[in-house]
Amino acid sequence: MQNNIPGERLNELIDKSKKGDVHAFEIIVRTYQRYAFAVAFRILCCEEDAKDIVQESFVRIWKHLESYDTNVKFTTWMYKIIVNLCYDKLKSERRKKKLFDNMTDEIQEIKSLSSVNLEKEFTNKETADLIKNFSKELSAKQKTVFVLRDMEDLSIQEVVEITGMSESSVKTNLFFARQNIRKKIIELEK
Amino acid sequence: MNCNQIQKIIYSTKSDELSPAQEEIIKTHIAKCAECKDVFEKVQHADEILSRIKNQIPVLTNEEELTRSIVERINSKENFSPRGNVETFWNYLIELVSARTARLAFGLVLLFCVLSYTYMEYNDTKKIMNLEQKIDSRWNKNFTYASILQQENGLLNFLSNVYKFSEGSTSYLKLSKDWVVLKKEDLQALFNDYNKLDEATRKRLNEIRNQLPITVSSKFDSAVNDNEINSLRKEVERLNKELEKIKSQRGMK
Repeated sequence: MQNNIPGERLNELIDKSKKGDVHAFEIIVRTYQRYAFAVAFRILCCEEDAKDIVQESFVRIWKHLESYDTNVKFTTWMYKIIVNLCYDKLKSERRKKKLFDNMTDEIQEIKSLSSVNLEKEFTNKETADLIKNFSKELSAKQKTVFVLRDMEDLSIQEVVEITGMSESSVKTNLFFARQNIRKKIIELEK
Repeated sequence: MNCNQIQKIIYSTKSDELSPAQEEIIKTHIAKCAECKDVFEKVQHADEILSRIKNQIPVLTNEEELTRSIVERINSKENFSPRGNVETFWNYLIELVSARTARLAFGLVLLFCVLSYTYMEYNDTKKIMNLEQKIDSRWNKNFTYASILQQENGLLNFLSNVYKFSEGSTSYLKLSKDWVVLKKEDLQALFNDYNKLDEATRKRLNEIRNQLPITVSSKFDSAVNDNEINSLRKEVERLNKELEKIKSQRGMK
């Protein structure tokens, strides 16, 4: 992830925010909210939900700044909060879906990738539909690990720190997710 | 490695994550296995599609609005800086108490309540038993003498003592060992009974009285008076009220 605030400046803004400087915190929000949105959107595949999560995440970051350990990368800490919220949201949605099985999902079913123009720029809706179609058989854990590692390009170690899972668990979930998604894409390519 | 193992690696590992050894094995295998080569190529194509999705950064619309709503929320009273004012300090403190701690505290409070209630119950029961004992002992005091007489020689013994000490005008007798309370009319009735007895019987009664294991005070009228009887009655009434109060508080009948 491209970091728009140099480390020293970021630490200075965090220190000021800890002392209650809302303006300093606003600069942090403006810089990182789009990255926060990207990860939340890719996990949840819903613009509104992703925005809600981003809002809630920054409020939590503000509330818990005092406990922020500066030895940890700020973005890792931020992702950790976002991913936890997304993970809870995903799980609750799955539960709801199980309870109300007849509820129609907003997902646009893709029967074949030949109907999708992969060359043009995607809208958020199209990106969401593609990710949803590819990952609909994945568990919340598998999807989260896949998005962090293969979509956000984070290292395995960072994924471990963010999700709180063990390295072997991250790898197992990641391998399963990749296998499943790649097979799904190949199937839709036919 | 067989085809299954090779395909498992192809499906689950990104090409840039393969170790040189794995890369070599796969390269050698697909060179001579058409099926695995086909899988390898299809996975590469799938990765291209995934790469396109990855490069498509989701667009955050209305960024300004989102920033504003976040700032508004942190400015509102419900959210606060940990070093904020005193009012928010309590919110912070409440937040620090995790659900687990709260549950533990609740459990301890519950345990404390149960133990306190049990202790109170025990104390009340002890108090009730003491009061009942006290009341019993007060009344027993009044009837001890009669009971002794009953055990010894019955009414005749009693009458003999009454005769000896009933020539005064008081309605009460005091015995050195304990109390006995008699109404004046009862005393008179006993005296009349005694008078009806013949001389021999009266003599016999006096003999019996002298054999009694108790001594009798001759100053009965000054030793027992209305005040003493009233104070005894009041004390028993007070104890009874106290007992009733405790019993009703505890829902006992």
